[in-house]
Order: sequence, then C-alpha cells, then structure tokens
Amino acid sequence: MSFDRHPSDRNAARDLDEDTAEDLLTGIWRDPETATHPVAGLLAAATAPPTARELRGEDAAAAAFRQARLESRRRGRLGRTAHRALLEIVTAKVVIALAVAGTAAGGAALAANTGHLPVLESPPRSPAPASPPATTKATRPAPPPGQPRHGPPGASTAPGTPHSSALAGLCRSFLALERPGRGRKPTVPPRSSAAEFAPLVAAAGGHAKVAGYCEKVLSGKQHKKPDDPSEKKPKGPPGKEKKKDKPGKKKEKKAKRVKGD
Amino acid sequence: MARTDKRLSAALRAAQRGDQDAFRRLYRAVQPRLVRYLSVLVGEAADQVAAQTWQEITQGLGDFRGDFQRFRGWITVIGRGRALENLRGRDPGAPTSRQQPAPAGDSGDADRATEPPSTDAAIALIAGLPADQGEAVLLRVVMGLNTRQAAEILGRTAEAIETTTHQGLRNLADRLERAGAPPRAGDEPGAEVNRP
Repeated sequence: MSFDRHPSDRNAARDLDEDTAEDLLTGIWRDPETATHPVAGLLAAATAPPTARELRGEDAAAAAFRQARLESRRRGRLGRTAHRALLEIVTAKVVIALAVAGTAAGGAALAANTGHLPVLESPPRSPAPASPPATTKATRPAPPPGQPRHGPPGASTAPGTPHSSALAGLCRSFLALERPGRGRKPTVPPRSSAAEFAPLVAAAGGHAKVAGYCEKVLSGKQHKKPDDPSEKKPKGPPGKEKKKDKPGKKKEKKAKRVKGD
Repeated sequence: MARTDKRLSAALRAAQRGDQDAFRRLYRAVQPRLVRYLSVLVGEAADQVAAQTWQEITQGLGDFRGDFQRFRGWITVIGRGRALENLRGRDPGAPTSRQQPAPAGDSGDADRATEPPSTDAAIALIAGLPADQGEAVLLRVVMGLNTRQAAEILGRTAEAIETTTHQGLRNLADRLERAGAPPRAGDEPGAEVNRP
C-alpha cells in the first residue's frame, strides 16, 4: 500500500480518528466539526446531486420499467413468484443448516431438545436402518412423552414430525402459494418473510417434498385416509424411497413390492 | 437521511405496484451514485453497465422484498455483478479496469482553493485509493450501504470492512493534504486544533 501514513504526516493532516471516520460514513455527525473536515467536503462532492448527464438514461429505464410491468402481468399475478423464490432459498438454507448441525453435532443437540431426531431421520438417501420394511415401525423413535398426537397415527405424516397441527396450518398457506401458475424464477435476492415455512420444510425433509408432504398431512387430517390403513405402511428399501407423494398410488406399488419380497 | 429513506421506501413500494413516477424517483435517487460507483469499476462503460443493471432491476422489482436500504444493497449487487461481467468480457490487452474518471476541467485553477472539488474529481480521488479501500468507501459513502451490507457484497467481515473504510478515509485525508488544496482551506482557522 503506497499511501500508508508516514509518522511525519501524522500531525500535518487534520486528524481523522475513528469517530470522525464513522461520522463521515454514516452522515450522522456527533461532532459538528466533522463538517469542516476536508474529507467531508470530498465525500459531499462524491455524493453531490445528479447532473443532467447522469440522468440521461432515465427515459430508457422508465421504458424498461413499463415493459417489465407488461411482462409480469402476462406472467400472472405479481408476488407469487417471489414467494416461490423465497421458499427455495430458505429451504436451501435450512437444509444446509440441518446438514451442518447433523454432521457437526452428530445430531446430539437436536436429540437432546426434542427427544428424537425428526428431521435427520427423514431425508432421502440418509442411511436408513436396514431392517425389513414391515418392521419399520419399530425403528421409528417413539414420540416424546406428553406430546399430543395430531393427525392420523402411524406413517401418514412423516415419522416423528412434531407439532403436526401447526404444520398443517403452514401447509395450507404453503399450498395456497404453490398451486397457482408458476412464473419464472426472479432474480430477486432472498430474505424476509418465508422463514415461517422453515419448520415445514424441515419436517418434510426438503423443499421438493413439501407439497407431497402437505397433501398427506392435510388429507390425513381431513378425511382419515381413504384407502390406506396407514399403520402398515412400509418405509421402503433404504436409499431408494424418495418420499411418499400421493398417499394412494405409491403405497399400492410399494405394497406390491413388499408382497413380492 | 432517514426521512429521505422513508420517502424512497414509499416510492419503492409504489413502484412495485406499477407507479412509474415513483420508479423515476427511485431512479433519480440511485442512478447518479450507481454510475459513479460503476465508473470506478469499469470506467467509460459505466453508463452501459448501469443501463443493464436497471434492466435487471425492473424485471425483478415486483418480486423484491425490502425497504430502500435493502434496495440499495440489491442494486449494488446487481451492478457489481454486471460490472465484473463487463470486465471479464474485455480484451486482456484493454486498458485497466480501474479507470479513473477524468479530473474536473471545469473549474479554473485560480479559485480552486475555495471551490469544493467537483464530483468527478472526488470520485477520481477515491478511485486512486488501493482497490479494497476505494471500493469500501464507495459502497459505504456513495452507495449508502451499511457495514454489514458492504461486508456481504465484498465477502469480508464487517470488522474488516470497517478497518478498510477508515484506512481509506485517512488516505483521502492525506491525499487532500498533499495536494495542498484542501477544498475548505481558509474556511476554518481553528481547524488545525487536534480533536480529542
């Protein structure tokens, strides 16, 4: 760095201490003298009001704005796509966070908190216990004592999901957002709101699975599982089973497979 | 500043609902600073890169969530990305990336001491800082980002950004001193007093 201060400079220039620097940066001057610092004048010039030349692209930008409005109207209602993007990003974060928690802490912290490992158990391709499908139920940890069970018993909700009634609520909002026509992914940055869906994503074991998970949760709640005795639902061979999407069809297939075995 | 931000946050929301005049207010507030920042990164291509940035902004605007402060961060991310793209697409033999805007030619030398520096001259001075210091100062001062936002964009810690920015400001002070024409010289006879 060529412009490090030399000791001899130190008193020559007006001192620019940390406080003054911070005042200059924030524009909130605790010391009125800051305003008279040469650097204040420089920064004021750097942020001076625009010249006409700087704004000559305004009409073009406004035209782009109108064009984008038209396109977005064509795409469908504004805002939906944002929620999709948010969900995807939040999901990714949650999944990463869980993966980190899982590997770094070995799930011990989670286990200590909840009495079981609801999330770490459900993701696909996690080395599920290699037990025959019919006995999966035994490998599932028992729900913690005192936790009320909502929804259908057994496997119709993902194993060990806590607070399934709260999740059902989240599911409804999620599906409401998910269903309408899908737009293209926006370039908007993440943030804000959709953190509310994080528990849902965690419970489902991934964003891609939320829709299927929710359908199950809600159908289970609303009409007691039309075609499946649910208790017997096999977990499927480890590593292969992706996630039960539709309660009906897949289960039949799986049941066949189980019989074939 | 806070009040301006509130007004611009309102303009942002209105623009998101389709209000073109509100969008123009946003543009006028952001564009000059964006171009100044970009001019340090890409020199004369700044206008073109800024136009691309706005193109992208208008396309994502309806989906953006946040206030004006966050909007500044967003537009900076997009602008910087476009600038880097622009630099990547250049001939290796092309002039250096950190082109400095031409120093101000409009003010006569005579009244230099009493005239505040022109915007171009100020930006040129900042552009002359070591790259990390210059960009940190630009993000904080010109783009109006907070330390955390600047840190995120530059991929460094907030503490590092703080240190770098302060170094940058001290460097600017030294350079002004050396140039011998501090913009406000003569304004303040008591200015030499050391601050506590």
